[in-house]
Amino acid sequence: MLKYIVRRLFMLIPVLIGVSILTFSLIHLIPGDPARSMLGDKATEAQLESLQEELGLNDPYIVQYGRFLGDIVQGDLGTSIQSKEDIALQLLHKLPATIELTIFAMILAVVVGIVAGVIAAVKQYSWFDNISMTGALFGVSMPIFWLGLMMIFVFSVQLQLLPPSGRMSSSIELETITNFFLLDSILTLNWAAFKDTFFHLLMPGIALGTIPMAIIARMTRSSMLEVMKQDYIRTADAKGLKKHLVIFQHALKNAFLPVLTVIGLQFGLLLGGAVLTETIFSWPGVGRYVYLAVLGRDYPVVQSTILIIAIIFVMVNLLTDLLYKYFDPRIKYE
Amino acid sequence: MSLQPNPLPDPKLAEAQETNQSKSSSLWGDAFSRIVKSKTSLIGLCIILILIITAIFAPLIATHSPTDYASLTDRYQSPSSEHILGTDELGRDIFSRIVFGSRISIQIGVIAVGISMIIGVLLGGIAGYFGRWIDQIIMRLIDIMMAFPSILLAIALVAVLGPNLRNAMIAVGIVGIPQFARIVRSAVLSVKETEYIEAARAIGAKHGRTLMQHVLPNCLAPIIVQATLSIGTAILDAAGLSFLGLGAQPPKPEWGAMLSDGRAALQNAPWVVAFPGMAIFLVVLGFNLFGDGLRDALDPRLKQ
Repeated sequence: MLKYIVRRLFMLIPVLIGVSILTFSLIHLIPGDPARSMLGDKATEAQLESLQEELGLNDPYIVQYGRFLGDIVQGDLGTSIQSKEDIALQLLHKLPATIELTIFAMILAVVVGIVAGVIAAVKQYSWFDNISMTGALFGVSMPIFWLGLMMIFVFSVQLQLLPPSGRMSSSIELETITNFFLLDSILTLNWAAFKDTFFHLLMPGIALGTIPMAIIARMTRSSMLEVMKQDYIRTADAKGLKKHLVIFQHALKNAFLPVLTVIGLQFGLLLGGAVLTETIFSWPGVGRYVYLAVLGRDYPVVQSTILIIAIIFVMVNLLTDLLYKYFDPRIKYE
Repeated sequence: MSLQPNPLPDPKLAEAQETNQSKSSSLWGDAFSRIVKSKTSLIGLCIILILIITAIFAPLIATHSPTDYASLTDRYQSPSSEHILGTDELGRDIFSRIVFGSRISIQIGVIAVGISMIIGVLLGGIAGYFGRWIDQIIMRLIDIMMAFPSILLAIALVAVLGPNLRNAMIAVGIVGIPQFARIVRSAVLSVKETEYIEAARAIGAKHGRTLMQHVLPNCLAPIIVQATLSIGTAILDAAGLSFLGLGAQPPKPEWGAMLSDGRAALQNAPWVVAFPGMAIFLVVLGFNLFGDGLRDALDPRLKQ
C-alpha cells in the first residue's frame, strides 16, 4: 500500500507540472498586452512599465515560468493587483470558508443521497423510489444559481427564516482559531455562534449539494440493485440474517465502491460550483474571490487560485483511489 | 464434413432460424423501439422538440419584441394577460425574451458540444487507435485538463479570452473535450481488436482511412449518448457563465443573463428570475431524460 501511495505521488508530478504550465499560460493567452489589459485604458506609461516589471513580463517565457514555479514551491503566490495584498495570505483566510461550505454540502449530499438511494433500491418501484428518483433527475438538471436565488426569495424574503448572505451575522462575536466557523464555535463553546453559522450554511450548502446529492442517490440505487441480485445476499437472507444487517453490512459495503468514485469526482465539481454559490450568497470564500478577480482582471489572483484549487482537486482524487482499498480489499495495487 | 446436401431440413431448426431472422434487426432499430417504449425518454424528446420548434418559429410565437421596451412605466409588471410572464427591469416582455432565448440555447448546445465532440473524438480516436507513446501523450494532456473543475477552467478561459457569448461557447466546448476523448478512446480500444478492422488492414487500408471509415463509425453509439447528455451540461454551464456576466452580454435574451439581470429585483419581482430559470431547468431536464433513455437503449448489456 505504501509503495502504491509513493508511486501515485510520483505519477502526480507530470500532472502537476502540466497544471502549472496551463495556469502559467493563462496570463499569456490574453490578447494584446496583459499589463494594459489589467490596468485598463487610462493607465499611464509609467504605471504600465512598473506592472510589466513587477510581473516580469519582459523576460523570456522560460525564465518567467521558472520564476513562477520557484515562487509557488516557496509558497509565494504573488500579490493581488487590486488589493496589493499577498495572495497566499488572502487564500489562507478564504480557503476555510470554501472548505467549510464544500464539506457541509458534501455531508448533506452523501447522507441524503445514500439514504435515499438505499431505500429506493430496497423498495424498488415503490412510491418512495419513484418520488426520490424523479427528485434526483430534477436535481441534476437544476441550475444551482437559480435554486439559490429561489431559496433566498422563499426562506429569506418571504418567510424570513434564514439569512440571505454571508457566513455569520455581524452581531455575533466569535474567537477564530481555525477559521472554520462551525469548528471554532464548538471549540470555544459559543453556541450562539454555532447556531448562527449553521443557519448561514444551510441555504448555500443545499444549493451546492443538490447536484451531487442527486448523482449519489442515483448511483447508490443502481449499485445497490446490482449487488442485491448476488448470491451472497440471497444466502445472507436465507440464513435468517436481519434485514438491516443484510442491507447495510452485506449489500451497501459492496455497493459503495462506485458511489465512492462519484463522491470523489463530485468534490472537485463542488469546488467549481462554489464560484456560483458563493457569488449568490456573498460567501467570503475562494469562489467569490476568483470571481471578483476575473471581473477586476486581477490575473495573478486568478492564476494562483485556480492552481491551488486544481492541486486540491488532484489530491482529493488520489485520496478517493486510496479509500478504494478500504472498501474493496480485493483490489491489488502493483 | 459431408458433401451430401441434407434432403430433409429439420423443421425445428428452420423455425428457429426464421424467428431469429425476424427478431434480428439493427442496433439503431432496436434502440429506436426501446426509446419509444420508455416514457421518460419520450418526455425528454418532446421537450427537445418543443425547444426546436420554439426556436424556429420564435417571431411567430413571441407576443412582443425581445429587446424593445415600450416605456419605463411597464417595468416589473407582474404576469398578466398582456404580459403572460410579466416584464423585466426595462419593461421588456419576459415570455418573448424566453422564446427568443431558445435560439441562443440551441446555438450554445450545438456549437459548444460540436467543439468538444470534434476535438474529443479525434484525440480519443488517435490515442486509442495508435496506442503507445501517442496514447500516453494525449491521455496525460487529458489528465491535466481534468485536474481543473470544469466550470472553473471555463471561467478562467473566458477571463482570458474576454467575456462574450462566443468565448463562453468556446470555453464550455474546450472543457467538455476530456469526456469525449476518454469515452471514444475506450470504445476504439475494443473496436480495433475486431476482425473487420484486421480485414481492412489486411487489404491494405491506410491507418487514417481505417480509423475514420471503419473504427470511428463503429464507436458512434457512445459518442451520440455523450453528445446528448453534454448539450444539457453545456447549456447549464454557459448559463452559469452568463449569470456571472462572463457570457452573453445585454441586451441578448440569454436565459442565464436574464436571471442575473433580475437578481436586483428578487424581492419585488421574483418572476424576472423565476421564469428564465425554469426554462433552463426544463431544457436541461429534456436533454438529460433523452440522453439517459438513449444510453439505456444503446447499451447492449440491457438487451435482455
